[in-house]
Amino acid sequence: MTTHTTSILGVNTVPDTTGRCWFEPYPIAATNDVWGLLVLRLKDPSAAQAHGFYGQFTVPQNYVSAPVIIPIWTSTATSGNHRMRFTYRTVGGDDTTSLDQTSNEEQVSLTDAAPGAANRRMAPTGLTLTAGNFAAGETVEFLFERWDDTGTDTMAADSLIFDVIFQYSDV
Amino acid sequence: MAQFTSDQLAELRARLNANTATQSWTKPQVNAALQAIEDRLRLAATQNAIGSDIEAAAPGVFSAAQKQLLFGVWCYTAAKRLGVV
Repeated sequence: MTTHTTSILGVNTVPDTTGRCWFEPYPIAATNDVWGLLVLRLKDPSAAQAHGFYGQFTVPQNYVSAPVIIPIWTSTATSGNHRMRFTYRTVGGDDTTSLDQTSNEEQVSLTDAAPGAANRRMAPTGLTLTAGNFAAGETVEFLFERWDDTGTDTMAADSLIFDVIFQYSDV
Repeated sequence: MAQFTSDQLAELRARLNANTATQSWTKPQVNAALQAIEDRLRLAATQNAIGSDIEAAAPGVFSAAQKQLLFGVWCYTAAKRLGVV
């Protein structure tokens, strides 16, 4: 069994219209202004708020099973829980299926504890998706959010998303 | 005593975070702390005490509304001293 990973962020990754998610250079939040890459900031949500970003990716040709979404994130907070949600729809075929779908295929969530120290790289085990929903070559439309569903997001600071990874197995 | 809305608390937390490099507290903890400050300052006993102090310092000079304004100005100065504004 071989595990593979690929980033699902790309040219058509875009923040939603809530105004509570945006791209910014990392030095705005970082202490050391050395690594000036672009990161996605997700605001500390009020109760029941959800906000994030949309995108799409193609399921790799050697995909077989075990799909997992792994957010690479950090924050200046060192207490509380960071709640995330991944919503997606797979679309396959050639001239057979609409990309303009009215519903999602699956919605999964994950709670990850705040970093033990500010700015640490966080790479949780991830959001496990249903393997049968994916097939090699399909387009996956997605929405990744920070989500305080019922006061479960207790981390009192914004979070920064460095990457979102699609992990899978080729057997 | 006014109950902060969740949006008001989110804004207050954002202001707090802008002045702290690391947040070692959880959201419920900071929400409770902010509400405690609000509750204390909204108490009639607290407001009367401050009003009495002003009255003692400058008898018969300031109306109730002007005393509130004085308090607001003091808060602004305190906020500037702390770097919050």
